[in-house]
Amino acid sequence: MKVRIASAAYAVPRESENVEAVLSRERDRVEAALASLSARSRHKATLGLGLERVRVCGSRQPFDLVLEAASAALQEASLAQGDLDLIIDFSTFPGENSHQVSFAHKLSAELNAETSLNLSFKAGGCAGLHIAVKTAMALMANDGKIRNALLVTGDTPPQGNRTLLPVTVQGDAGSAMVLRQQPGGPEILAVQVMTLGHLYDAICLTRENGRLAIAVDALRIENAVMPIYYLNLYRLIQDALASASLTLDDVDHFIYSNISQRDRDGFGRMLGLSENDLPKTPMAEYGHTFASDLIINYQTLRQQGSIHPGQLLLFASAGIGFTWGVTLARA
Amino acid sequence: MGTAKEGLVEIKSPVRRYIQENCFFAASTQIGDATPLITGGFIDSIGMIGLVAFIEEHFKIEFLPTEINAQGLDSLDRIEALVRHKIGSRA
Repeated sequence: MKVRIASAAYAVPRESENVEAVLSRERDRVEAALASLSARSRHKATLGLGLERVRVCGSRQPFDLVLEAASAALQEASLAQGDLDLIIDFSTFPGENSHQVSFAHKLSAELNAETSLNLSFKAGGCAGLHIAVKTAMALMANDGKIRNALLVTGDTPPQGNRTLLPVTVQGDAGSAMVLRQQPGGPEILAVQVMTLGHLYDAICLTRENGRLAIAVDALRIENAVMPIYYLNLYRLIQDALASASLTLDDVDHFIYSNISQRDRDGFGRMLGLSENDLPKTPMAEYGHTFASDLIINYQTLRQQGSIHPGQLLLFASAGIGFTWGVTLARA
Repeated sequence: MGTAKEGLVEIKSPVRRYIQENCFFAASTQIGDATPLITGGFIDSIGMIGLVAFIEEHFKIEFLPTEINAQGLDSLDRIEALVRHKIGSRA
């Protein structure tokens, strides 16, 4: 069974906010989050973010962004709405007003995809896309009636929780990817994912004074997550490549998330890439948009005309869960 | 693989040598058996990739993802205990 990335699209709000202003407004939150770190680590936490602005939901909420992205992706794939067999929503922070409703179910109604199988899961963070791809492929392999799948994510943090230091600053976005078994689009060669459950609370959604909040355990991130962060990613990349009888040298495009510039530099160092091997992304303008990052960066490469038939794409990311994922596709 | 010493595989010496030769921050530092390697900043998250690969290759063992954490690899003492456990469970 061959599964291909038929299309992809993303949508961001028009409104934006300066990252410096966000950090200033959320100063108490930042100081509280970093209080457990050494002075050196606190200093490093705000260096090298590479994020200047973030897009913020105003008049349009995450579902509106997801609907726009999904509609664009379906149009590009020339799929009629009734042709959708599966919708997977992998939003991690879908928004305070929408957390009781799965975007997948809502999309099914909005898109008149009445008979699609709808599924929603949370907590994959930036790596949610890989889990969604793997789940869709597994369902396709298991059920011959599922031939076209729509994968979506739309994320916005609870009010006052945009800073996730020492990691990143979150921007809002919605994105969509269509997978199908018909020819057209990059063929997925391998998907590798892993989660380590004991790290579930390194970054997690909680309630503070009755309000939703994102709790960031900075010390746990420094001492428990970071030592294995690149290691697990590296191992998954090697596993994915080996399963397709390929090596790092075969990869034409590395599509990695926009957590921060220093994280992207770390990813590059991990793989021994030169500066030009990891292309510039719109991260300075959009901030870190969780799993939408990969689709934004994929679309950016496509819009630049950088992806050519036969080239090998490696999508990689890690995030909340704690989750690591790699997807390999041949254009 | 490490040299046999009193019936045991030598573990700390090759690992100490690897760290001093490959980890920038450890090059000019005396690495003691209890020196905190990760939480002390001698080995960063990129350095972990090489360290784990070295240990696995040198001692012919393979770590499960759940076995690799900062706590278990944070000193030569702990690395020795972990490697001995792995070698023991292999036998």
